[in-house]
Amino acid sequence: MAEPRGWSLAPGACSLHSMSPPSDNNSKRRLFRLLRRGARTGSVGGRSAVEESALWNAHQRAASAVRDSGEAAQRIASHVAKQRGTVDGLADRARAVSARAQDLSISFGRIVDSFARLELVALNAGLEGARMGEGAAQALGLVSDEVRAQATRGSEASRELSTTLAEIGSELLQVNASLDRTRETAAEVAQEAARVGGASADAERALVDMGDRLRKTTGSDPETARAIAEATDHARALVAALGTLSGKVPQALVVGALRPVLEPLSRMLEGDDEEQT
Amino acid sequence: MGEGQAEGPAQELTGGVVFRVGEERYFLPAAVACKVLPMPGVARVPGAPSDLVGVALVEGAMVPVVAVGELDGRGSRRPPPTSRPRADNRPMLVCVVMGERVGLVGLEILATGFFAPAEPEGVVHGDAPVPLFDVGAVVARLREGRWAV
Repeated sequence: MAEPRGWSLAPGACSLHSMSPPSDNNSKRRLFRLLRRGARTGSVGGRSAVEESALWNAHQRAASAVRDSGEAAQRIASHVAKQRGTVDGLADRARAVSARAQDLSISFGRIVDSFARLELVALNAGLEGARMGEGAAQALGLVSDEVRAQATRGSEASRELSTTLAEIGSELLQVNASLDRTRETAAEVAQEAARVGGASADAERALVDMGDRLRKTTGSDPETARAIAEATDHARALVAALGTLSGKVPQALVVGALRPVLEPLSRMLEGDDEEQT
Repeated sequence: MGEGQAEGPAQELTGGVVFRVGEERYFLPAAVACKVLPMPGVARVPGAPSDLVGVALVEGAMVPVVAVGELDGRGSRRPPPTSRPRADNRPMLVCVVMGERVGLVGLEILATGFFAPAEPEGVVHGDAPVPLFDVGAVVARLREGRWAV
């Protein structure tokens, strides 16, 4: 079985010249000349374009990251300011509760005082009854004992409440101390966020300056570098696709399909070549 | 009624007040013990013995105030200087001794009312005998003591 007359990208296997009609020979020659020149110089120039593209990509990623970090620092500062407002409100409430607790403690002191006086009244009633005589004093003594017992209970309960209130006051003092520490920490975080924001602004300015210098040094810009990188990728993809067709598809079919696409490229590269020569 | 009231009907009860000085309990009959008052404001008497806390205005009359026990928890028989001029809730037992009223402080009132008698002149309180407090001796000691001027 005869093999179809195909073509190959392998070195020395190129047979476009032999396959193509004579009218196409000139354009093909130009294309191969350009390709050969590209083989001689393109390795350096292509690598340079790729490196420039990578450099611009890195520059843009750095600029984006710096911008994000600056915005994050601003958000942190905003959140810290809100948190500080909340902490201040809590501290005010804790102070108000502490003041109320002190007022209540004074009130409990008065209650304890009243119970103590009531206890003395009961004792005096008993003493008075003792002076009145046994018979008449019995009822008075009973009342005196009951009043004294209730006054003692009330006094003890008031003391317990006062003690509990003092403990609450102590806890509130600790809460206030914790809130003060939280406020100090929030202030430190706000300062650090401001520093981060300032550093991000500096870095952003430095990156803008770096971009200007890069543009002057390389003569390119991010958009051009990106377009070159994309064109390089497409060219690599084309070469890879041709590689898969190598030896399988008739050469005339491939050339016929590629010519409308490659002609403008050939003309463009030829013009560039003529400018240089 | 007093806690140590006797159960036997034939026993004649004694009315008065039982109080504690330190760890000891004492009894004073109702004829001597007039009333229990909160500690009044006391004016110090310069050069007075340490037992004499000062003088206080009680129901319109000046009454000497005598410490019979510790007045605070620091071993002093006088109240702390800051609280000395002020009235507080510590009880003062007003007694009549030889026709004169005197206030006893530094004690804790335990009970008032009738109590079963105990030999020789005391009463029973809480199933234990309680001796009679010799308030006359306290006043006499004050009168005999040297007053530093």
